[in-house]
Amino acid sequence: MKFPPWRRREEELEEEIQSHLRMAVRDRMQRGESAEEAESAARREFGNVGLIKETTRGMWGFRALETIWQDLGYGARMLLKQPGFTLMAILTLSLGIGANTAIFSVVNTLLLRPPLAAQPEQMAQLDKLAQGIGNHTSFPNYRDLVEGTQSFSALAAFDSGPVNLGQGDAMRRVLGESVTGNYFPAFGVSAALGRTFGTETDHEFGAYPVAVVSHGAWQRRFGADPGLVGKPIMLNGQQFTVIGIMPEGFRGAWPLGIAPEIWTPLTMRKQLKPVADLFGDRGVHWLSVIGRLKPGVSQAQAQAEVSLVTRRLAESYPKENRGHENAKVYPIDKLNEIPMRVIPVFMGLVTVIGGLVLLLACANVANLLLSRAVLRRQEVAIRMALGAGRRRLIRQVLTESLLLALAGGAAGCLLAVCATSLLRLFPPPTPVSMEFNITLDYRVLCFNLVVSLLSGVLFGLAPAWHASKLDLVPMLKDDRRGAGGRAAGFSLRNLLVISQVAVSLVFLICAGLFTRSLRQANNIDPGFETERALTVPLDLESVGYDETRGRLFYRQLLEQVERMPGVQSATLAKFVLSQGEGAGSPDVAVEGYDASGADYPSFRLNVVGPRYFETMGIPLLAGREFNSQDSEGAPLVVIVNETMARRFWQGPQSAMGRRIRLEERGNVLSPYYEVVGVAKDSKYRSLGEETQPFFYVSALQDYRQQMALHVRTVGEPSLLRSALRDRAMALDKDLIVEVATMRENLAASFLPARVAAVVLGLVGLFGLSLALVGIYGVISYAVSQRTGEIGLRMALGAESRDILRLVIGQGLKLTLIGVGAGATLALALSRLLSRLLIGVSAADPVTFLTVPLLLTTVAIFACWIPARRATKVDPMIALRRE
Amino acid sequence: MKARYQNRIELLQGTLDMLILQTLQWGPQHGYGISQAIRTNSNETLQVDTGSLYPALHRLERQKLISSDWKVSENNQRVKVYRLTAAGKKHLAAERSRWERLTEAVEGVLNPARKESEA
Repeated sequence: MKFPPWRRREEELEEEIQSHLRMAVRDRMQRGESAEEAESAARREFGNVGLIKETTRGMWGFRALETIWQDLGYGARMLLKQPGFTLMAILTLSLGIGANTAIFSVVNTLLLRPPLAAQPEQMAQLDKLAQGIGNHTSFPNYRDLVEGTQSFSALAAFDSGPVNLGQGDAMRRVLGESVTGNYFPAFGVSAALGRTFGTETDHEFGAYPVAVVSHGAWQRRFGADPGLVGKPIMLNGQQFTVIGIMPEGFRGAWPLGIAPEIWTPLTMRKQLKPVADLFGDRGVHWLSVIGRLKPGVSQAQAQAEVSLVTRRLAESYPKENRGHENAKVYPIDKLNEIPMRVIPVFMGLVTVIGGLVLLLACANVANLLLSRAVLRRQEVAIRMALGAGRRRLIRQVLTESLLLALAGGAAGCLLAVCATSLLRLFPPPTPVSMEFNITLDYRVLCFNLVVSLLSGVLFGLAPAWHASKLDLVPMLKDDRRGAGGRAAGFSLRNLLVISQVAVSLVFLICAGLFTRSLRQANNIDPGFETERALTVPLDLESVGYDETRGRLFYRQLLEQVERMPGVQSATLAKFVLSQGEGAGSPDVAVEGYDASGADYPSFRLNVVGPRYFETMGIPLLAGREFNSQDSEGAPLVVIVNETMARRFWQGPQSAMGRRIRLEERGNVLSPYYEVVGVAKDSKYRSLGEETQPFFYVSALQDYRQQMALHVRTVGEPSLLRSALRDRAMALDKDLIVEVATMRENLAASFLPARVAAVVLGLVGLFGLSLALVGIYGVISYAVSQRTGEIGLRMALGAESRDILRLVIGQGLKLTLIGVGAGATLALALSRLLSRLLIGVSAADPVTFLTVPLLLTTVAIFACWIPARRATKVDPMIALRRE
Repeated sequence: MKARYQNRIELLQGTLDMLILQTLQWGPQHGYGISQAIRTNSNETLQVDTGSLYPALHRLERQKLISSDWKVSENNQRVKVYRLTAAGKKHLAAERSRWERLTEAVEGVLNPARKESEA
């Protein structure tokens, strides 16, 4: 098959005509004519071969195709003729399209890809089983659901939660699921390696210590060990045997790329998390339910059946099953829980930003094309004079734009691949393991193509419109200022460049502020010792302790930890400093100050144990620490910080012995707390916060289920990590124990700022490069417009220095207007970021001076290239053109 | 320029198409053969302009009234041979009856009184 398709037909036509001529010659020669006579007579008789071919070709119906082919060929030649321009345009577009393709492929992975299952449309999840959050039910309810429904070929229950995988230092907290035996059959997905477990595991508790591992976990945690199946692994300190590895992409019923890593039989849950007997309790709702509909059963039928059962359950057990009657059957991929719904909104926002970036890129390419169109006016005029229709010209220009757009789209695809594989290499730190298995599937490719074509039309419209409005006569006379009416277009382009400079400056200033803040953060005095400190958040609720048992646990833990070698001191506190956490902010009635009758001020507090200030290295300015006597039944005591002491009393010393009352809820004031100490100010929620009034109450007088163990070590803290974990787990092996150094905590608290700095910086640099290309384009255009004038100036004695100043001055003017507008905008916007900034004011003079200065410098360089070209103008040639 | 050619084709189109189809009724034939046949059968009166013939052939082929094949002629030359399709036959019949009615009508207008022509 020849390409293009009409090529073969043209050859055939030629052959047909030649055979016609040969036959005519032969006939004539048979009639007695000489060879030459016959030849010329036959040709004369035949007529104009070219014309006949042309007319015949018209009969094929390829005309439109042929025109497009010609346009494509011509466009490609034109683009190749100016490789610099073409490269620039393709680069700009590839960034814009690539960013959007990358965003879309993330959206595609997180939101659009249904869970891996055979016939996912037959899968259903049960929601709103119980009142409140989550779609959970109890085990007895689940049994009744299974028995009372016929619509499902499998109705499976599962419980998701963190489990500790491995032992010692290699222990990791991963998302695991305890599932009923029909869980895997419900999905219809079998193991990629080994096997899954089935309903045999449902019959006996504790008899099947087996585990199925996700593909991601197999690769990340076990180094893709091909012999993993059959090996033992430790889960929450219990030995399980790996029996299978799931195929890539299997993530149970989880949306958004969240991927459990371990599946164990539900009947093994007591071994995994030996708390209370959840299986017998109808009132504890902890199981999620999914099912596979029997073939031919509609969702509505299943819904009717489920409603019948749940209504009965709600009637029979009104106390345990409040709200059960509202149960809903949903497709498996619907997002139900509110935190999950936030993510689509967030992705929508990111998509909008991506769209804006693409618009900027399109505007820029349009700008480039416009300045090039000026240079091509003569060529276009000649084509028009030779009879090319306006429509054909517009089509030609649009074809070129589309070619550019497609090239940019292809390059953008490559960029997106790079970006997403980077994301794969450096996954964002999320509390549960997520599988960012971002691949470019057909949906992403279609998206890329559509976006490319749309942007091609978008940025191609301006030059096409321009091409259709040419006035022939001045063009052909080589009047470079001809075809007037450009002033409006020019100022539009100026405006475009100014706004590009402004927007990129805003991004860059914000990025600069974050970078500065990160550097400043290291110099901030947090008010507490950050070295040689370990923290261990503990959640006694998850192991089902009551207050008596909890108090006992805390006491034993502290006693044991304080005796450990290498430990200087240990204490408990409700929250770890600088992690954005808190312990509430009750209203505070200060004795002698509430006379005003206004609402009480509310202050934040922490609940801390004995030796807290010693352990944290926070100096006490007056009074004493909490001790073991500040316990239940003893007089209530409080320690305030310096700022609070100064706000209500004259200072630390005079604050001693003063009294406050707290109002937690319902306008009920607590008994009096007496100030027994004043602590130095420190940072509480974040390093960036302003100094604020703050107070502490005794942990022994205010029991909390979640406390964090704080340990000050003698030497390197990370050496105590595993010993500390073992000690805590020896007290209760079901407790999830994660030991972190204070330094790690601080680094984690900088993460948002760090991510913001990188993202804003990248967007800013992209905007800046667009703006530079824009400035370059505008100045190049101006230079080409002013060739005559420049020539005249040079003829009159202007030096190239003067010309440089003239041209660069023009670019500088645009840049400075943009910088002014951008700086003003940034000043207004950066105030919104001030809460994230640490140690840097939102109007940081260093940032606000250096970034615009840098930007202006680069902009001058962008002007310098066309300016230098202007100095190369030969006055004689330029003047002659005038 | 293009427009003028199209006019000329249109002028001849109906008649030429019919003559081509009629010629092919006697058997497959190549372009040169068709022009010669029309010329001979019209006693050299009708000179078929190749500038009309080939566009007409290619158009008829596209309309599927005729089809084409490459054959090797008796002189060992590759020639493109056209043949009438079923649709072409039907079309020819319709065209012929239309033509006969037309000539009858024109005859009637030109010679209202006499039935015999002067020739």
